[in-house]
Amino acid sequence: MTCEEAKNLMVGYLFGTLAAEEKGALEAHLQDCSACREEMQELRETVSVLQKWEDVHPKQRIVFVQPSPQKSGFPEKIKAFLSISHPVRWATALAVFVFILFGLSRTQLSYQNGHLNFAFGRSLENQQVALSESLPILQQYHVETLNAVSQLIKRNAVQQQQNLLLAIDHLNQQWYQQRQSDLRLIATGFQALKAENENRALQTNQLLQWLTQQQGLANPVHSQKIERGKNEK
Amino acid sequence: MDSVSDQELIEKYKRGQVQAFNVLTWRWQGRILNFLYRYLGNITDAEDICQTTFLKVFQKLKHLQDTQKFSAWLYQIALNQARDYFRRKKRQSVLSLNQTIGNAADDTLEAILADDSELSPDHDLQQKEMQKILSESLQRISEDQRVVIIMKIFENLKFSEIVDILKVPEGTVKSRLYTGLKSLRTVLERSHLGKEVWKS
Repeated sequence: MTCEEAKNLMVGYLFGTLAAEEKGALEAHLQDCSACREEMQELRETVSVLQKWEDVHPKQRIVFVQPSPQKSGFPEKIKAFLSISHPVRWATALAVFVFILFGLSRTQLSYQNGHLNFAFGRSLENQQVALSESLPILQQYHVETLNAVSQLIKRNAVQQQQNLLLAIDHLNQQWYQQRQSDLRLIATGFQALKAENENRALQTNQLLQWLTQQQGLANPVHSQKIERGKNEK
Repeated sequence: MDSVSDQELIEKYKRGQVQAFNVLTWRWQGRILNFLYRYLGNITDAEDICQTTFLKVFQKLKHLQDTQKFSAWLYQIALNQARDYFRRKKRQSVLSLNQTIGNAADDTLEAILADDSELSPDHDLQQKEMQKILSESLQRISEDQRVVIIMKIFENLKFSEIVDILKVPEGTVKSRLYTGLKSLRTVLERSHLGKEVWKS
């Protein structure tokens, strides 16, 4: 092995990443070559000096908070209202739309001789309306409509109750999982805090020991007296 | 031992749990702070860049696909932030290799003690003096070599991890480490670092 080849392997040797064959070859070269041996020693010493540089501890922990949710405006609320597929919501929206459309176009409705008449943008004042003929039929429609609406409401109430129960159950499960997860995170936080406290206690002990030693050195006579007093006792 | 892995914390954060991100931050804050401190040579700058780094991570973590490479990704962000900071401040090292370290006017005992308001015992004083010399020495070698030395010796990263972070071949990493250590040795030998430090 040449010195150049040896130099290429020195860093790997220093950090223990060489293959056994390379390691053996380098060690053999180092035994024979004093210049490379000295260089390897210098590298080792430099790493050793650097490793004496102790870590600093963060003065305070960085903490992030949950960003507040964005407030939604009126259009978003309308979209949210319609985004959930629900027959009553769609029926309400349709009714409102039809009402507005008819209102804007000044639409008038009439029923005459078995025919339903629409009139857009004009009055029906001049037309003869046979209310007496249409009244029973309208009443019948009225009753049928009321029945249909009543059934629809009942069916929806049952459906809503079922949905509510399902949602409560789902929420309950989510809450339980969240609680478990939070507890685990809190435990992790406590472990980190405990380790930090132990580290600080160790540092305090070292400081106290040092101070005690310094006190002893600064007052040798006093220390001797204490020692002598102990011996006399 | 931490019971929850980084990957699990990242997944929890992606599902909206900010507290999981805080745990992840506290786990890595110390290492990133020390990495930045040794790279920048100034603890106040390091603290600022450390905060900026975790803010970037907070914003971008949801888009990280390969969570197994989180640590490499985190070091990349920290390094980019530090390099940006250097560029902004135009504080690229222009000091000469021949200039003696540790003899400047601000190296007085009072100046060193004033670095930290806490009462420091003898060990801390020696440590602070040594840190100052090592920190200044690191600033005098090339940036490429400094990064590799910090990652390998202080962060104890594997060569393959350094390759992932720096996106350079392993041979280049080893070569930068070798030349960096030699340059650093030259600088340190001219410093006021006590001879006993080399032997102990």
